[in-house]
Amino acid sequence: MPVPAPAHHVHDRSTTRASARLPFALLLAASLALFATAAFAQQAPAANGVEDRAQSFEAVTGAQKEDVPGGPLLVAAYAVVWVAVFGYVLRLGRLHVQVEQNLGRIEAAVAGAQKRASESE
Amino acid sequence: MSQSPLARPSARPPVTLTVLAVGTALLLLAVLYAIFHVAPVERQMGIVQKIFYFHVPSAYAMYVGFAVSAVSSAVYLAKHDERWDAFAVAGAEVGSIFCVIVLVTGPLWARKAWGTFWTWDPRLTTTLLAGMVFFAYLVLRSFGSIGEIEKRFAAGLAVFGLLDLPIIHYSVQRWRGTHPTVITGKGGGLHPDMRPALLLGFVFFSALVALLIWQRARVERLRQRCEALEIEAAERGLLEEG
Repeated sequence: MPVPAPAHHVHDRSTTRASARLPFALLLAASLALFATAAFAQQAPAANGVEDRAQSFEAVTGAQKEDVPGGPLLVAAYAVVWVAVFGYVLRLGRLHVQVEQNLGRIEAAVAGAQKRASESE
Repeated sequence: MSQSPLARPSARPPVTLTVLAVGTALLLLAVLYAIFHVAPVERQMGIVQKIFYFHVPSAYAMYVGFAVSAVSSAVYLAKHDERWDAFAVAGAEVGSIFCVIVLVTGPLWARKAWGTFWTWDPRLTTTLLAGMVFFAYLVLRSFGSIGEIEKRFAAGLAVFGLLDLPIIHYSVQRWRGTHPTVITGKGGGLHPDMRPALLLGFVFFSALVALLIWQRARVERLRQRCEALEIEAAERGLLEEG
């Protein structure tokens, strides 16, 4: 069974793609801007004026003594960040390859079917 | 979709995406240098305070990912355009990765700061809630070729998840918790030498979240077209059974 080629879609594909991407780009940019602003937003003063949580970070002066060793916690935290990010990038790459292979398989099957159909006519 | 599914989608990444990827890699080197060579060790917390430079920008990246997912889902519900659905999936997935980073690095910090890995602080609890909402979205979407009803239900879930984001952000102001409020402008803030590391952290994670969402959406679009091609070819009898 022959398949008509969708040639009329090819002409202005690049222009269409560029204009189609614009809303997504604007959405991404707006999200980045919105949350960057929110991250630095001012906090309202406490009702009783007393805070029992950290409000500032100061640089160390003199010899340092720690009750809970921070090194292993720091290493663990950075390991988690890199395993998560690089693991996801790896997964994304494999997914891309898998989808590409799937697409190639279907295209080959369609091309084969078209060839057989044209030979039988 | 305006384009026929039988048209071959471009597999080559756009130049902008490649430039963004290279820029992100360079930013990573810069932020690591700033964290470990420029920023001083913190007086109270010690070296574990350096988690802060990735923990906070990760939370910001999580906000961005979840917001992109929710807004794209809302547009998908209104327009039924598969492109927005691809961005919704991408945003939820990438946002969830950063949510995991926040929820793991935070307790590691807390072990040192509070003596415990977890406490039901308002910000921690609402962040966990947002993570659970978007994990539920991803579980729903992970059932392969789901139908229109399931997609719309998942989109509704993502929109619901958006409601939690401002609650997370303002929870440290509205409720009395133990979560630090260093960069909100109320307390002493950051030591001046610590600021470049945090600023670079924000820039790096902004680039990273944009890169990952963009690439994941591209792959999702490719998957959607592959699925549509398969359906169309099957309907025309071009594919063999099984």
